Amino acid sequence: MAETVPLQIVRRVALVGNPNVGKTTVFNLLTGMRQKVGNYPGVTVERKVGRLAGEPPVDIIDLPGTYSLSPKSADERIAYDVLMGHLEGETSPDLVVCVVDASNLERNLYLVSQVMDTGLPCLVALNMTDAAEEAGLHVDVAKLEQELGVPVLPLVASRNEGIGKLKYRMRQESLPEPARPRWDIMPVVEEGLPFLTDHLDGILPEHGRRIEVLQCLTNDAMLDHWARRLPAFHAAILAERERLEGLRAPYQQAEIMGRYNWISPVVARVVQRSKADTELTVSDRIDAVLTHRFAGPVLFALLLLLIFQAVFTWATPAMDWIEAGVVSLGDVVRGAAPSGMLTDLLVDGVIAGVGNVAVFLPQILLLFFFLGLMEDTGYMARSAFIMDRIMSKVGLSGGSVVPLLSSFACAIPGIMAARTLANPRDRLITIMVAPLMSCSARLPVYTLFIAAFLPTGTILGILTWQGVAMFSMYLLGTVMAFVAAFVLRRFVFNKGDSSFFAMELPPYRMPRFRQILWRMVDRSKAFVVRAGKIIFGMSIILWVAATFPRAELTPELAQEARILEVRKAERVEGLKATGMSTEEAALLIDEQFAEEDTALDARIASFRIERSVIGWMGHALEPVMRPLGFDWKISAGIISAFAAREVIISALATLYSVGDADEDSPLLREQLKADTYEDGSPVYTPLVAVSLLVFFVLALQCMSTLAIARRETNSWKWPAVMWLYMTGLAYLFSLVIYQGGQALGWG
Amino acid sequence: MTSFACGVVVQLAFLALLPAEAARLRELGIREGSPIHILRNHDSLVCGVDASRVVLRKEVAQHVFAVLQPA
Repeated sequence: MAETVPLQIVRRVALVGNPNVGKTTVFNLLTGMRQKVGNYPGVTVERKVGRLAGEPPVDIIDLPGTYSLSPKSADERIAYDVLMGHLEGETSPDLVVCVVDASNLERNLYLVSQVMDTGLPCLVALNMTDAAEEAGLHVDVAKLEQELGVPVLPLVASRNEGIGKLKYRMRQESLPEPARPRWDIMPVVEEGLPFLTDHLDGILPEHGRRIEVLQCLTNDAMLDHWARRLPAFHAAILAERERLEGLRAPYQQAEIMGRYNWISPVVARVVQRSKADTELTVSDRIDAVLTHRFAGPVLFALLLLLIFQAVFTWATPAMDWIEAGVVSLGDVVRGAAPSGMLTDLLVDGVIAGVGNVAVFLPQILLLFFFLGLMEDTGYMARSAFIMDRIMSKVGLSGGSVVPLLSSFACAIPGIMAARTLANPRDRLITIMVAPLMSCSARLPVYTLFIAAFLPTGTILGILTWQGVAMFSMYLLGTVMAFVAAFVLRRFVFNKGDSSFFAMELPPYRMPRFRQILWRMVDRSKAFVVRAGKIIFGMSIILWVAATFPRAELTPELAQEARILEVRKAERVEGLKATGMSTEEAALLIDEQFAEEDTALDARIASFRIERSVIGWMGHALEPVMRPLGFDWKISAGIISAFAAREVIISALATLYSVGDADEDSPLLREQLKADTYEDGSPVYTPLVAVSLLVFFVLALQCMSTLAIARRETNSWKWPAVMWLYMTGLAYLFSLVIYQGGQALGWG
Repeated sequence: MTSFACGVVVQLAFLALLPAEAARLRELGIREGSPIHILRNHDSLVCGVDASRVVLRKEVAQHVFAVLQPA
């Protein structure tokens, strides 16, 4: 049964399986922290590769979950292309491990039968055998192995059982013999196959030709690929389809029926049932409540409210520690380094810029934790189901809910997750509205302005006003995403059939906190690296822009500064005459003149920033932004935030650190609160804060999102439309809020 | 499928859907001849296919034809 294959330096093993069979758990157990996440060349489908340590080393590829090798979405296509060696720079794996759910054997074996047809050595990892036993299903492993003709290893990945044996089989020098197809297709289709496979002679390896022909017969997307590469094959497939249609042969379902005609009797022989499969499970009973047609949406909304409340309140102690740490670091650096431009750049630019964003890491970690919890327990899939009724009203399906919920973390994985949608129209609309969902980069902006300008206090003794305000920001983004989807569906993409929606509901599972923490750390690391790269660079640019050109003081300001120095010197001399030491006298006088010093410093700093590059930019934009309640500093911050939203925090930190009126005031929000116009009126009022918050909810300020949208839609047209409609919406809403608020006397 | 009450087991007879949509349902285990347990039938249809649970939008379920499973 085994043949010896020459051992390569690094063996490549692919993990394939249906969604929700525990494939990623197996991958994590095999590879631990030795994982690399990237993209497949030319596409944005995540490519996860990990190393199984030991001798010989084995690289394990975790392929996207798929129900078949007849791809309908982009990530299913990747699974097929990797196995067939169609991707540039990637050969077919040396071994395929099919992770199979033992409690759903029949459906899972459909994919296994397709993998067997690829002619690659494969083995079956029969996972969740415990769940199968609980459901009254006993699988005869030896018999299954015999029926399939490939090794079968029972596993309970959630308890780390059987993983050792799987590792051993992966490392064994002798690979399983390549599997052979064991099913028959209807004769009328079979008779046309040899002619078609001959076209691929010399183009695809022998083992891959038959399955490629079968896919092309029924899948236009697969066939299109050959139109340019091998027109004769393309034409032959079209002719074969015509022939079969002429004969009224149901060739579209020939493969599925043929495979199941083989699989069903196999399953009947190897599975013994001790319980009727009509018994309600624990998941069914939980679903009766959580996905109830009326209670389900209410519970979903309450859960989201709870999450945002927790994100806002639980993170506060950790945020305070980081905030204090950033201030202390700045003080230490300023105390240790010689005073001058470089120290200013380091403290006011880099430390203030990066530090003010790092402060929000606890909230981001919490948000990722809750999203991970929803994913891990199986509730994320339910949210798609619960929301389908609402989504269908705006012309989308529940399938768009997972990409949209992922966009709460970041629009980039959200846009990428839209690849799972088979309907191209649904996919494009989801991509177009995903950036309206409030991502983690908006969180720092929301937190800063809500904490600084919105009232504290509680509602009903449980919810805080600030938590509710935070939830409202997320709600506004979500509602606007639905409205935008409705408009796009109604007026732009108004052709085509209604959305198809069918999905599997995985059973509820106990969350595995280790895995959630793993993912949480992974995603947060990505945020920090991104913040580190963009914000570090932007902080330096902003500091330079806020510092240069170095304006000369007006004669009046210079004279005022000189007069103050002279007054202080005279007072010091007076005290020295009473016998006080120079240091003591200077210290005392500094204390006495602190208020005057601070006020003058602020005026000088403000004078210089206004004449710097950033001041010029802010002033240039101010006439456009003033109707929204924004002054030149906010306008300058918004310009800088078009690279990435969170940059506004470092921009404001730079602007206010340079113009710092009070060295002892560590909090940016205190500095914002204290800022006034020349007439003494505050720059920031609650109305300005709301207007700014709404602007950030709706505006598209993220270059990475635009770049990903460009890659996913293969054109600049849709990212341009996305930027224009979102920025237009942001301006319009902020304008209405600010002007409306002023008219009502709330300003 | 939408005409059956919750709790009954039906045998799938015919999928009157586009080929790609029918193929997706068959991959999910909803295929001609297979027994399907109707678990819920309101705005959406939730059905048991072996040990798995599959949800179908009502408009999709209306195009799936089944007969009561013979006792």
